[in-house]
Amino acid sequence: MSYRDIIYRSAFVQLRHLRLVVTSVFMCLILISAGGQDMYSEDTITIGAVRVTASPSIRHIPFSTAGIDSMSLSVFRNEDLGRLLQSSSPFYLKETGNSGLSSVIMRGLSGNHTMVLWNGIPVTGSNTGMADFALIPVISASSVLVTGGGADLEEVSGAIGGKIELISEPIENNGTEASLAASAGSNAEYATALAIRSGNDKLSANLSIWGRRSANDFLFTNKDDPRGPSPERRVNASSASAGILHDLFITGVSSTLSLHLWYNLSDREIPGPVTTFQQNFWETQDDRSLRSALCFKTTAGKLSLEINSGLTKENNLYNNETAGIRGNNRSAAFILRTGIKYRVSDDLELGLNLGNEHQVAQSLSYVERKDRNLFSSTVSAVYNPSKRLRLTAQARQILSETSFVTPELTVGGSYLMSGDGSSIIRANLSRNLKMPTLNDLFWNPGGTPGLDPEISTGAELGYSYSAVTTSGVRNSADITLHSSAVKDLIQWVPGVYGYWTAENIRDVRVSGLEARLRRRVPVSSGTLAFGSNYSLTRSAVAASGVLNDKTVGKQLIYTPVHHLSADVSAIYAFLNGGLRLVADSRRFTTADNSEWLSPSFRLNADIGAVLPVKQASVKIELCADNILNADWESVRNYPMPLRSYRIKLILTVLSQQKTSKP
Amino acid sequence: MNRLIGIIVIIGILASSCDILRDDPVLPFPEGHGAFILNEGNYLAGNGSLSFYSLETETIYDNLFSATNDRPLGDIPTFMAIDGDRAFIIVNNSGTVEMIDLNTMESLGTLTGIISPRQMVIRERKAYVSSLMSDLIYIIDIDNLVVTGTVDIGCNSEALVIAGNRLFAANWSGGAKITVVNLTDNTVETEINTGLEPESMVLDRNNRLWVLCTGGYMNEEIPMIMKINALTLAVEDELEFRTVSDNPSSLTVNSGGDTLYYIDEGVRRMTVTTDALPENAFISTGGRLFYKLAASPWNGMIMVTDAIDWQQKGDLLIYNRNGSLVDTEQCGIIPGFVRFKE
Repeated sequence: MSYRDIIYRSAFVQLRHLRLVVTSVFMCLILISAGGQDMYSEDTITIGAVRVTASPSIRHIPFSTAGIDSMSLSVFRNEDLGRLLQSSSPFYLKETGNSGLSSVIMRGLSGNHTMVLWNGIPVTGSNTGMADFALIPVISASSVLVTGGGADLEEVSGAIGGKIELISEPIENNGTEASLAASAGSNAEYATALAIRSGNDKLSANLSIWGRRSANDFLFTNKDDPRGPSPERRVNASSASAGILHDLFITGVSSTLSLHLWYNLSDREIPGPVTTFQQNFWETQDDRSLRSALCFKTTAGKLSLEINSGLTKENNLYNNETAGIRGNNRSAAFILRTGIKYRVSDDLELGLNLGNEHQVAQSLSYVERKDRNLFSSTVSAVYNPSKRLRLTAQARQILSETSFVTPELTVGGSYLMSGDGSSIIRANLSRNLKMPTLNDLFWNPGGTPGLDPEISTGAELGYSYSAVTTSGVRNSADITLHSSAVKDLIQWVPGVYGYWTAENIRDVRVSGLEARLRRRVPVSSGTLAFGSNYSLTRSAVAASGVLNDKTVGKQLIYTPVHHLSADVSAIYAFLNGGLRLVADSRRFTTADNSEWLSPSFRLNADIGAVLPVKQASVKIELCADNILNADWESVRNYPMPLRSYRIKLILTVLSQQKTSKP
Repeated sequence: MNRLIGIIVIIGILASSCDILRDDPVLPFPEGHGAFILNEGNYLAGNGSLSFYSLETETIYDNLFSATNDRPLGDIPTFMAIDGDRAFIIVNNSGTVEMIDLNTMESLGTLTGIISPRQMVIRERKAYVSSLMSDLIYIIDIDNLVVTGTVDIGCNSEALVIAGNRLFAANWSGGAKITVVNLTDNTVETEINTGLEPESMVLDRNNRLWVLCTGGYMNEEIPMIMKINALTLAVEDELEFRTVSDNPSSLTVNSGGDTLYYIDEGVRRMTVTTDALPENAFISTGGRLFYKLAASPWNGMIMVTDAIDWQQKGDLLIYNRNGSLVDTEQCGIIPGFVRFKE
């Protein structure tokens, strides 16, 4: 496929989705014009009453949940979610080459133990159980929450590694904000994104459209060339992607209704591994995804109700010219989830969540279309025995088709060490599980329909600090210790029938530490910010059903013991700049830890300027990635780019703001 | 006389010092009999390696190629052919053929540009290489290590056997036939229908071709071993296994050409005159997962590889002629093909 074909296909959304796209754009334009009309009316609106419904702080819960800070979200606005999390969370990003399949390793477990939710609905494919983080742009969400571990039992089903939530939010102040970003960089990388947010107290909408393409033919050193180390350019590695996302929010006195639509498409060539000579197997992968979510929240007296429903459709077209394989992997999920909370007293709140997720998948390697229904109920209680102490208990029961699986239970608490809430300690004990994926169950050959869920039993203990000094210095720190035993880990192992089969074959012991530190200091005409994220993860096989297994006691593959990301950024007058580093200790590539990738260290830098022009601003930014020109790989034999450059131009227009919201 | 003795002593010292200064190559493994083991490594990881099991020291020597040449062997080495003091290693997923010095392990050249090479047979100064992902049999000038021609057989190929003036190529992956190539003019002479997926193939001392057909990757058919007359090309016997779920592999023949061995819930053994498959295993698995098998030319010794879970270093298991385990050695990742050094 030529670049022209890729661009053509990216630019023109397939006809069968055209109606959806046109409808979305039309609705958004109506809302923007509505917002615009409002913009020129009176500056001050008289309102009868204001009802404030505040969610409990994400710090005053027994889980290690943290939001990605707004500065990082802004810096990575035009990049994918994987790159954001790699630099802004303590979790390791595993990338199969630049722009290739990416997954986030949380709590020492592989990517299919990481759940990704977009406005409450899972966007992890029900067939693979994984999300490809290279295909999720940061622009798809207004805020990002990251929760390590699977102790929180609020969802229909869980993922024992952790949870990443993408949340769309309406514009904070009345009016309209539009931004147009364009960038160009090394290896013929071009990206553009348009984001418009508009609204008032009752109605608001977001529209985002983006596109990106890259030849990705970067230089690297082939150290395994039989003729000796030689500089080469990556071949068959181009990528192109585009997407459109629309959010609509209708806000009443005590309720909110929101509709979210997201269509994403991506065409990627898949480069071969560089073992001796660089080979081209003419592999390509095209991904299409359509996601929709409808969310309703309301409060009436002591009752609050939340309903989330959604539909996701994923289509992956894999093509291998050399082997003559043309795979067409499809999956879909229909989700309906309701949550009711009842405030019994000022100290006690009871909750009931009922959810249903119907999963469907079809593949060249399935005998027929397969589906699975998961129904779950979660009962919860939050009790405040004192003003500082909050205790939480959750119990979830999943019904998979007609069978009940092992009940899950979490008990925990958080304690305000200081009256102002700046210091909190939190802890939980939990037994939670992850259901097998549809591929684990039904892939032919090798899928095992009778697989048990993977069960994690463990504990967390955390400390959180967040405070702003009188001089405006904002400090925050989060430290979490965790330990868990994972039983019945599902792995694909060679079977006696000559093909690999999915089996509950090993137990794993995971323990470690996660730390986040941030400090933001206001200086004259600017801000100085420092942040760092660190994880220490020991994730080792504890027991195995494989005879003569030499992996017991060994670290799981592609799980670095140490992962560190740190950044320093400064804003002074109209100038800004930053330095970001990501460092990983060695990552084992074989299960017996006999081979590994060397530790890696990358340093990125950016410098920019913001030029205000009336109600608009123009931001120019120069970025240099891997400025130390380090040779590195995230997955063995998939080289990553050496030093590369990018220039970004962002035009932002703000409408007149109003002050109707308190 | 004393002067003469002195001269002789001086000459002797000089001679011995010359001997001391001579640059003897340090061999990476002991001389003598043994077996080379190709460790396939993980798919796409490029960590294939070469080991040697010495019968003299009863010890295994690993990473011979990479230690000598300061680079990895490549991705999925699947086959090794020996020609005098040279060996040719087929590295399947790297698409290369490495020519090495059999004693020093030094690379003598790397042939590239072959689509998914699998196995090799040598006849005179030519080698024939099968291909898993193309319809070609590659013809290689082994002295100059260049491809001199190809034979389009219309299907992919795996096991190769030369009998007389014919090359037999088994159409393993998704196939059910053997293509017969006339080596006089390198043209396809005919095709012989077989059971589904002929995986391995050997020639016995009676010029009979024995072909193990797995019955398909998805267990579509009952596996079978076929006996084909290499002269008349007639199918003389078809020995069916028990059920479609049987998974036999790795048919091999001893150096005398009178006994066949294959993996089927252990190692099974049968003579080339039999008309039925053996009911019981000659060597039981002992809970292991046997991957590849080789019958040594030494007193009935059998070597079997165990790749364990294919994600860690595997084992080489050595059995005596009675099927008793006499040694176990750890090899590299996914130990597979075994070639004996006599």
